[in-house]
Amino acid sequence: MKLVTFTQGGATRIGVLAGDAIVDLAVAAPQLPREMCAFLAAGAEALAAAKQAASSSSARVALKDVKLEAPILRPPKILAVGLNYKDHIAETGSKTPEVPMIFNKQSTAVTSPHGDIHLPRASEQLDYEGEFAVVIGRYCRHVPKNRAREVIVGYTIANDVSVRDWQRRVPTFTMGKSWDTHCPLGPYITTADEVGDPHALDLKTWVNGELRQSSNTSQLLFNCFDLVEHLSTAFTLEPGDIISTGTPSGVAAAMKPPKWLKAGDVVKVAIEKLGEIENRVIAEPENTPRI
Amino acid sequence: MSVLEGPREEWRRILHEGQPKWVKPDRDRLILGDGREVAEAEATYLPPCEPSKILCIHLNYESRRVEFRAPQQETPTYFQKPITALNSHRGSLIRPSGTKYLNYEGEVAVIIGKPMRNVAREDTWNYLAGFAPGNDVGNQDFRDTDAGSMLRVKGMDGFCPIGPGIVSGVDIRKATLRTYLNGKVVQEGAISEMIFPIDYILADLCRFITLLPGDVIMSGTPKNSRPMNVGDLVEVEVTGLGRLSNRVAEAPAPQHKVGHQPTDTDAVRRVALGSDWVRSEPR
Repeated sequence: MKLVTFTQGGATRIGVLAGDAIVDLAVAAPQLPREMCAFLAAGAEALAAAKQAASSSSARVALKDVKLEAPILRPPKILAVGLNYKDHIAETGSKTPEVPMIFNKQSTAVTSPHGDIHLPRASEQLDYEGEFAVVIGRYCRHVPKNRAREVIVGYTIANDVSVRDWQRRVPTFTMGKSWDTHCPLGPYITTADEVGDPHALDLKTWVNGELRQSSNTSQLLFNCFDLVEHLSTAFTLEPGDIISTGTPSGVAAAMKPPKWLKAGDVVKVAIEKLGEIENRVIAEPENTPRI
Repeated sequence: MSVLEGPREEWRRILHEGQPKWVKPDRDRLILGDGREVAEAEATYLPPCEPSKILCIHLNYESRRVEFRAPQQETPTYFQKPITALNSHRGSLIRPSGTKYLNYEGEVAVIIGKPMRNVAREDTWNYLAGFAPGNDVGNQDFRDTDAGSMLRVKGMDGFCPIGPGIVSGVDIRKATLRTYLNGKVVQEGAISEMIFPIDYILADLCRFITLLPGDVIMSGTPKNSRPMNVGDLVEVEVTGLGRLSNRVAEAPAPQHKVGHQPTDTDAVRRVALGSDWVRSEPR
């Protein structure tokens, strides 16, 4: 099942992708929550109800008539991993980490699967990072890796957009990784049952049609299950939390000279079985809300 | 027959010509037992039951437990609201002057239909009159007193609106609860998210306390309970049950200045503001 958050007629709600249409769960299963995190928190029974509703032929809206939003508009947490692909570690000349290098992206950084990425007024070093992302489906803590599948509801695509000078000039990544619009997410959550082995998926990133990253999730240093165990040792994972598992080689910063993203560039990230997201880079608008 | 099955049936209670009357809703009309009709918009609602007690569960949604960083509990704990807290659809919620934190807590109210004592979990559904949207309103300014009984926090007059009516024939276990503040969704939680399901709560309580027809069990609230302002419209909707509406009004401060006065301490804010306060907590 492919779960989406979409807007149509001024209302944002959740649905199930069915070919070139979306089954509107607010109509097909009105008893279910309409916001993704609350829906996921409702557990297996709600997922089963959605699956059943998805087979109904009514309550469909054409995909072309809606705006797809990030499947989770405001994840409770966005956890990300630095240096987690063997090829990316090599290109950055870093030492192989012994424990996962975790950082946060702020939840306000989320944008839709086709939303614009802002080129900051305060930097020119804008970079992309195509990433395979885990979506948590349950409140959980202290999850051993052999039970991690029970708390992963599905997977999606993230672009861990980075502002390299802001990332590197201080020891922590927070400011460089969390600019508004710097976490395109989507286009949907593919439920874990449809993905099968999450560690055998091709991942590719293009900039203006030029292939920049090409790897496979089998190359992950710490896999999804390792990460769930590691993170949940410290804190509660919640329905809708995102774990972005890191990026393979081929980022702009590693090129000589670096090919930073410019206004007008189009970045596409595709992962096998999970679809693709495509985002245009624009200059940070003058009308960005400010004090 | 189990309250979860059968055709959906709803009974409401209104004041009609000076008397309480049971009515059935039919589109924009309410139908009295003798066949007369009242326009729904003009009806004066009464609470849809006459309880001998109102029992409430503490923390019962996983989302709220996490919001408050509360430990997991093996068994639930309860508190009471006085009968005088009962209120109805469209009744006013009164915030005493001089207090700040009047919180909504959207809940499913369970209404008992037959005397219950020593009933097994699987049989509890056969003893119910039905369900109603409810609001476990609290004035958190009194959080610092009454030693955890929350007698005044949760027990002030009118702090337990339920309605608009009692509904049976709905599988409440599959429903979703939403609270709206001035039309905007502020709480959303599936009933399946409950830590202790309704049948568990009923079986637990009636081991020692006889539940009587009309008694109300408030079954807990999901995350994001927050304070309301004077003039706000708060609505609790449970899919299949309907939508309870109440507006916040202000009353003069009590005439006599005796006893505990409202406080605005960390303990008060922790509950009133939930994660909005918890996140800003200095470490």
